[in-house]
Amino acid sequence: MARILIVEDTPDFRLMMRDILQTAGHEIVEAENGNAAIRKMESGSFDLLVTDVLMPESDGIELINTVAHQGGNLPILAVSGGGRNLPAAVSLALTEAAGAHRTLFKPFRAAELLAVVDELLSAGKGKN
Amino acid sequence: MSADPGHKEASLRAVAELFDHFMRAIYSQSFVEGLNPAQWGALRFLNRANPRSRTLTEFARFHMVSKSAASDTMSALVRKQLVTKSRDPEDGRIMRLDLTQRGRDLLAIDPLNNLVAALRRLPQEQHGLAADIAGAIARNVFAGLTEEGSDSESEPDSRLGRR
Repeated sequence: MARILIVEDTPDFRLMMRDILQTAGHEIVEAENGNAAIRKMESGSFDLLVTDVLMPESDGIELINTVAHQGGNLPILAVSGGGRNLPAAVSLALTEAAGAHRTLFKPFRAAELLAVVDELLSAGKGKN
Repeated sequence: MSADPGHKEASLRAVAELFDHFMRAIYSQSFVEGLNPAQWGALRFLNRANPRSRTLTEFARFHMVSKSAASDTMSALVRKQLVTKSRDPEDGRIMRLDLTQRGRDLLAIDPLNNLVAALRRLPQEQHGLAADIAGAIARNVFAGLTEEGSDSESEPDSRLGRR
């Protein structure tokens, strides 16, 4: 069981990801934007960060950048809608350049989310 | 950069020309091993994509190109025996694309490696800055280039995250 922080501004989508990952046995903490995520990380440690990329209050890329460069080794899964004007290829390069370990593009199936979460947790980067 | 607006504009123009020069150099370096830049992009895509995403539709969507252009690219790679096409065992309607061993081996000499090497030569503390600047420019360029359009194909899709 892992402790996962989900950062997503859309409540329904955040709830869906929470339910899928909780059913798989993980402990879930939620944040609705990057600033709230930073506060959660300051008060507790996590095994994985799952973050939306496009959020109105604070950019997901900025959050990924901040977390990736903290030096802690927390695995980061970016969840991208792709952006209307951006090819997914470019979105992928953006999230990975910022420091995300993997990027999942919406829409995706529950099984795909679980598979990539398992992959990142198995890589065993440790609690942060 | 200078505070003088005219000089600042000229400096920005010079930066844009620098990008143009090195992009042309990178682009011309991508015509190697009998492949063109689009074909190298396709090999990279197939190397990274999960099995479910290795289809013509997903490739076209990923690179935001027409299905016809995607098809031309993949057909060329199949002819060069760098990619194979096969029916999905779970859904016979879907054609899966996979790299051959030859295709995988060719990626060891991916021309993109030249640009990676150039970035690696930057001082360590500038790597993050390079990422930030490249990202910001990419977003601005694509915001200006790409038109919003609707996807005329309507496919039933029960996946999460559809808006």
